Amino acid sequence: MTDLHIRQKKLREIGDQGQLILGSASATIPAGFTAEPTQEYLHRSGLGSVTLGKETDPREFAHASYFQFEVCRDYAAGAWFATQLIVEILGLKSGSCNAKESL
Amino acid sequence: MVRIKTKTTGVFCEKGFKLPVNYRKDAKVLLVGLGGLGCPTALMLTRAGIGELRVLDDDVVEASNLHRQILFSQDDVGKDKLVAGVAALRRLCPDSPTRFEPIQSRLLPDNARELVREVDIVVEGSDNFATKFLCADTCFLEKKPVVQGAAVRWITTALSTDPGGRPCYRCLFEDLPAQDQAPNCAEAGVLGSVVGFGAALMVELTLRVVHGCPDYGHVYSYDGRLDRLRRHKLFSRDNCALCGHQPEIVGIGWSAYMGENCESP
Repeated sequence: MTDLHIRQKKLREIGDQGQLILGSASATIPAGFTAEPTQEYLHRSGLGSVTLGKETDPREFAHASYFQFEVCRDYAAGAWFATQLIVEILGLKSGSCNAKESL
Repeated sequence: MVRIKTKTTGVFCEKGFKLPVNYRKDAKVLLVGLGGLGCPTALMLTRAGIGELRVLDDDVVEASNLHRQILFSQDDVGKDKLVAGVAALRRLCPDSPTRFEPIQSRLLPDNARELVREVDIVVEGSDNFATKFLCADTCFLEKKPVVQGAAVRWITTALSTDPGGRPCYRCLFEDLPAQDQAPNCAEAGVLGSVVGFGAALMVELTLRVVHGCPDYGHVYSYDGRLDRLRRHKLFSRDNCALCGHQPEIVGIGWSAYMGENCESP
């Protein structure tokens, strides 16, 4: 178990504490094409539990205009959603990352 | 009399001649490295039904790989990446027409030119600079398009270089960095889903080349923490060692890549 998340615990914004927060968090993710990579990455990042919510269109994803091919766009949307969820759970959006630990 | 050769199956676009529309059916892709970037790249290319996927890796699966290398599960730890990876691709995409050709090797100065010569496009997502530079140089010398990607911490980047080779990877990074200057994801850490996003960018660039609407010479970079995706134009340098006016790199030798950054073969 310790080895599994060692590469992401090396991130100073996550660390051991962030990994514990992730482990106890739960999230609702949009169903549809984007769900599969989102679920995959959240599960692998050690997130506590993931439930499927209502379906969303991957065309609505923020960076969709960069992608011409559906297969890439859907996967990117999934990876993007997983990343943003992790950022949100760890409270990094507001700039309140564990700055004390990084020093 | 000068005879002008034309391909009748292609279509014209504003940038010139496009490759045939059905090119993807027989495109051969060389994927260098089946790691964090390579796994989702292979999955997406298989889903897109690319003609042939030659996968190059000689590593075994480790537990610390699993958070980003989505083709492997806990049962695969200790197995060869190629064996586990191809089995996972067949399981996940049973209907895909893609042929797999696993090649159990690293990209080395000895085999690089041969491997690159036989394919239409090279996709590189390896974890060390020696392989990245070797790949860039070989593709330039063999006149093949190449898509290169990297991911570290919260940031991922992707770049495609055209067969003519300008601007190239060395226009961006001049030469191999010293061991202590380059962050690598074993020491710096990386978030799995950021790697997935980088792979999606790489496959987007690859499919654009394959479909004849390439986006050469632009660096895509994504910062997952700030949620910022940027597309920068890369300018070629006249004094570039690879594609400049007086190129220094005209062949592939061992000494240039087998520094301290790369394990001995």
